[in-house]
Amino acid sequence: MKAVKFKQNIIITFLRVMIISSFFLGWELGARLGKLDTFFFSSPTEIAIDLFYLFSSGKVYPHVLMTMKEVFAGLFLGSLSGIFIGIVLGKYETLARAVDPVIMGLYAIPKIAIAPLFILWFGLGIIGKIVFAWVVVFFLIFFNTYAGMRSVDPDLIDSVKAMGANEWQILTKVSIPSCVPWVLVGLRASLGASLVAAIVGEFVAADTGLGHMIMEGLTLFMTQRVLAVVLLLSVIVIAMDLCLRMMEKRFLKWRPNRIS
Amino acid sequence: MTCGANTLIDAQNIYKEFFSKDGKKVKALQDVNFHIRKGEFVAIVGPSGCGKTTLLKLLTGLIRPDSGKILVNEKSIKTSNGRVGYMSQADSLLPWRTVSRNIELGLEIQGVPAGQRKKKAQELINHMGLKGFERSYPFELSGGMKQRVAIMRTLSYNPAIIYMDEPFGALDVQTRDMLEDDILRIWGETKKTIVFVTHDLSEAIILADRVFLMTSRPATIKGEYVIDLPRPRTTDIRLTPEFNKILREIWCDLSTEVKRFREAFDEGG
Repeated sequence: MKAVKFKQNIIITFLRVMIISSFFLGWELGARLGKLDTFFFSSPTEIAIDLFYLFSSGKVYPHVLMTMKEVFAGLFLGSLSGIFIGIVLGKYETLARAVDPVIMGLYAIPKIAIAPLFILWFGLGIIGKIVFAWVVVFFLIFFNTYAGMRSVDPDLIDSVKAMGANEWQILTKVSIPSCVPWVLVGLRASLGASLVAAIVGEFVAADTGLGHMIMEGLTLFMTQRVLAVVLLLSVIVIAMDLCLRMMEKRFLKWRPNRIS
Repeated sequence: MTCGANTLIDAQNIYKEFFSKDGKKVKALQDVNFHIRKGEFVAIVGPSGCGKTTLLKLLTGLIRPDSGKILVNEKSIKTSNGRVGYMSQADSLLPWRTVSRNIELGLEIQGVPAGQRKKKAQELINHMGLKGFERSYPFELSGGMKQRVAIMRTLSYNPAIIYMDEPFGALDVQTRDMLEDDILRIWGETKKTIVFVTHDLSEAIILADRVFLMTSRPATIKGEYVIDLPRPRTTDIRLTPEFNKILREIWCDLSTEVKRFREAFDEGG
């Protein structure tokens, strides 16, 4: 069994390497042979050289730092407020139904469309991007937490009630723990969304940040710069996702066959 | 109705109704009257969907009757803070807690310090033969083991009354026998008052001092049978002629009831 699986893994890894390397190889060849215009499409070597320059000159670090600050501040604030409001509304159904039109109305607004407003309200600095990322993350976490609160097993609540648990104990010992998997699902969606929010915020107006670098690259017609930053962004997303997977392992070890 | 000095649970004219999804009023329970003495083992038997679970939830205080009274120790039960034992058909263990943390739950709710809780849980685990599983999660246990943990969790905080709602309904026969023997042994050792709901007549007779027969729509207690089989019992008692005599007697009453219900149903529908 194990040997079969091992063999399968080797085949899969081999195929992955083949697919990715042939993509880059094809791109590079196309560029060298003049089939692809490097003005529009750059080439893998150009991108690699630009990346090396960005890191060796230290030019990229303040931008990465700025964007990460916005992303994590947005994730942190959005998660805290989303979990809190989700629990409160999950607990008080009347209140939830009362504020439902407000929340659905706000949710229905395409967030990207109002990104410029956040710059108008909170200025050109970091605050506008943080608040924007916060709002985007809030809805994702809130809806998941709320759904989790609504799907707590009533049998569990009954058995704890029979033991004499008060409302607070039911909340902390049954309802909130059973929301954890839901919150983690929301968090996974939020990682990417928070980054998108920060980048879009920087597109609108900024003097630092990876989104700003992309815009700058574009205005200077440096396609390799734009693509180098895009590559960097993918690496960041993958790294954040790996961290979240580790968190899930820690928090969900009580669940059979975790779906990853 | 006279009420003995050692009556623990006293149900008087309980009535409970529900509204079904299409808005029709459904009488779930009507004219339910009984006494249960302290230390008694009572089984409530009835067809599926006859309101047994509703009755049990009323007794635990999880829901309230629309009229009638339930007295425990001559006091009416308020809301759900009865601090009773309640086992449902689902094991209702908290899936994110290990076996020992699940057993500690009741004590935790009562504010017992961690050291004491752990000690009590370990005692029970050793006594019930689940040593080595202290740190397992419920999904790693078999159905029978889960119900054992649920029993231990109920015993840990020492409630005076334990209500059981078809706790072994989902288990295979061998596991069920084993757990029934556990319950008989525990009842012998602790002399707790146990109210056990089941649709399985033999299970009721094996376990109980008295069996209440419930009928459906509207549910009420139709008959009451004293099971004077000798104690201490084990599940082997079902092999004796005395057991079979009682089983046949109750079975006849039950089947007339089922037939009557079915005729009424056919005429009506």
